[in-house]
Amino acid sequence: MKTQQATLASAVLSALLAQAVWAHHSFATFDTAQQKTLVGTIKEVQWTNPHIWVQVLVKNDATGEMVEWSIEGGSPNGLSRQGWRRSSLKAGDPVEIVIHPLKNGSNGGSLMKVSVNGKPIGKPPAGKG
Amino acid sequence: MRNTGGLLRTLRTLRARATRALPAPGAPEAPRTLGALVLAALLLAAAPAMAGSGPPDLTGVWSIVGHTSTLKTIEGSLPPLNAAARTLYEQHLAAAARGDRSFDGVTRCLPPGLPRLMLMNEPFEILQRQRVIYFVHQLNRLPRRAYLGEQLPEDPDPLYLGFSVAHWQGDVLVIESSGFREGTLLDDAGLPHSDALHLTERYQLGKDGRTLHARFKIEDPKTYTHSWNAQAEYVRRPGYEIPEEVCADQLASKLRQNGKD
Amino acid sequence: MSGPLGQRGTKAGACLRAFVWTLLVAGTAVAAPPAPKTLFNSGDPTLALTPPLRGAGIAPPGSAPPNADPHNLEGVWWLQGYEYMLGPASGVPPPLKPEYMRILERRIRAKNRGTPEADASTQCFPHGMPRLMESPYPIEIVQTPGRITFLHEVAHNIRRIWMNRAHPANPPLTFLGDSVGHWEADTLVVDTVGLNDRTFIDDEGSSHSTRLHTIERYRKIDGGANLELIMTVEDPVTLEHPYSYRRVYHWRPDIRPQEYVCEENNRNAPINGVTVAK
Repeated sequence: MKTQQATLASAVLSALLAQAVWAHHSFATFDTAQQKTLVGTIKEVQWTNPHIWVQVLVKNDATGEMVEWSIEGGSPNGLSRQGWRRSSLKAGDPVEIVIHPLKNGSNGGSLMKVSVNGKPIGKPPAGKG
Repeated sequence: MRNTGGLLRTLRTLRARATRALPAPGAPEAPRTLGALVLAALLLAAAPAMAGSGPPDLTGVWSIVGHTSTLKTIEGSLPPLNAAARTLYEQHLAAAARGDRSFDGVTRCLPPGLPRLMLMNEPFEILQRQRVIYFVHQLNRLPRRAYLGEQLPEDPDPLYLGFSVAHWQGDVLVIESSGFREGTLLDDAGLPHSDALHLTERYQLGKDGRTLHARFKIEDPKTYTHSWNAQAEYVRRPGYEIPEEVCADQLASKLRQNGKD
Repeated sequence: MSGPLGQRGTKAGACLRAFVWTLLVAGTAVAAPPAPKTLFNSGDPTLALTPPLRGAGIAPPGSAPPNADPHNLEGVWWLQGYEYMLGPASGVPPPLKPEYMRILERRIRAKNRGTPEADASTQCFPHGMPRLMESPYPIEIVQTPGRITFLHEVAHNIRRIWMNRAHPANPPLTFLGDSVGHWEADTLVVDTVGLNDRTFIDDEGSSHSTRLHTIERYRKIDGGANLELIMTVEDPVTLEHPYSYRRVYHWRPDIRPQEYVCEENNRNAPINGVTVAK
């Protein structure tokens, strides 16, 4: 029962988060059929409109070097209605980020969900429809 | 103390407010106005129980009289910058003298912050409602809402225009604001402020109903050695309809003209 | 009652009416189920449309109840759903003339290749009409004497609806046009002209000209819990004929429009006419 609820809750959360990353015109640059998980450290958070940007340092497994990824999120307006704050992600935070990668293959993607030390950021908005 | 003039003023205000609350429809307007008058009469009958004669209506377009690029205190002097702020201010002055206004986010279409937005040389519109006072500016269509009867948030994520709450003190509209992001300026010349800025605005309609007297109190212990006051005057612009102003478009045109793209 | 063929009373007329009715009924029965085949459901993946979003939900339990006054539209409204293409129904394109349908197809293909063509919104310009009313962000309506004002959260756009007056003879062309309104019983009718041609009808990129004319009909429904919009779009240059579509906005007294400064970090600003994500 608990597992079912958790699965349902996380599915709902994912669906709503995906919607929060409302496909702005620019989101056509991302491959929404693909998902990728990045494990790394936050370098910088740009808590701005029209979209937040999260710069993440990720270790390239092949070369061992740290590579910077640019992750585009939704608007702070939408995210703050889902429990995010400007300070939810900070430089230095260890994160696991799930993204839709850039179609052109460069180091970027659109933010689907993120957790810091295993704790997800944000919660579903009030008001179902 | 109630007097005839006060009662008449109350009746006019109540009637105006009652009819305003019900926007003009097509045919059913006459019964609505009658209903509003009945309501006004009933409220007037209860008038002795009411304090004061009701706030004035500031709805309309206003523009500043005597815009200045250099904000002074009411006493006419440079605001009391602390040492670090003074250094920063002088850097701004020097940069501006060189033609470099990159310190000023307004040149990149960012909001001017407050109170500077109220001191720009562009008209603004006040939409006065019962729970919210809206300021809508010609400058890049920027809106500001002051929520009547509320308290400022305790720990907000700071914004360019902060958070504003308002109340009426008799005929004076008092607005308190805080939660400002750093980086905006208090005037065109480059007076700085910090995220500790607490602004109090007082607006009073002149007796002729066509001027608006404003007083600004700036409290920012990280930037100024003590709080200080400034003032401004606005005049009504009846018939002026604020045109669409899109800063990003103006900026793009300017960049194209300068040969960059 | 007399119909389109309508002369009452003659036997020939009665026969003709019966014949037409039979055709209509038969035609309806045949055409009922699947949507007519369009280029967009032809299965061509390069023309894949972006699927619509769920949009906003209803106000949470315990929210202030809506007011039932049909002439008081004040409050914060939030669109249910979100359509990337604003034709007469979801998945159906606007009735664009052939040369403009080719342009829409070009834009959809560019989007699907990951290099969407530049549009107004990614340059922090207003979205234009009717697109601005398809906003996934809250919209606040304020009413003052002689005016209804739509304050959009998205990039602080504003529409001023001037009540009970005519358009100026030659309105300057702006992103959001000149809007005048009047009430027809309980329906607010808003008429907009004077739109520049620097925007698209919708997110997918349907074209319009400066002769675009939109008519909005707003009506409170469900006791004020929802605001219904019937949008009519007319453009003799790009469209074969006018068309209409319906949208619903939820009453959301729990929501306050927030600051939205598009210009503060626009990393999608187009480069050489192509929207990017840098």
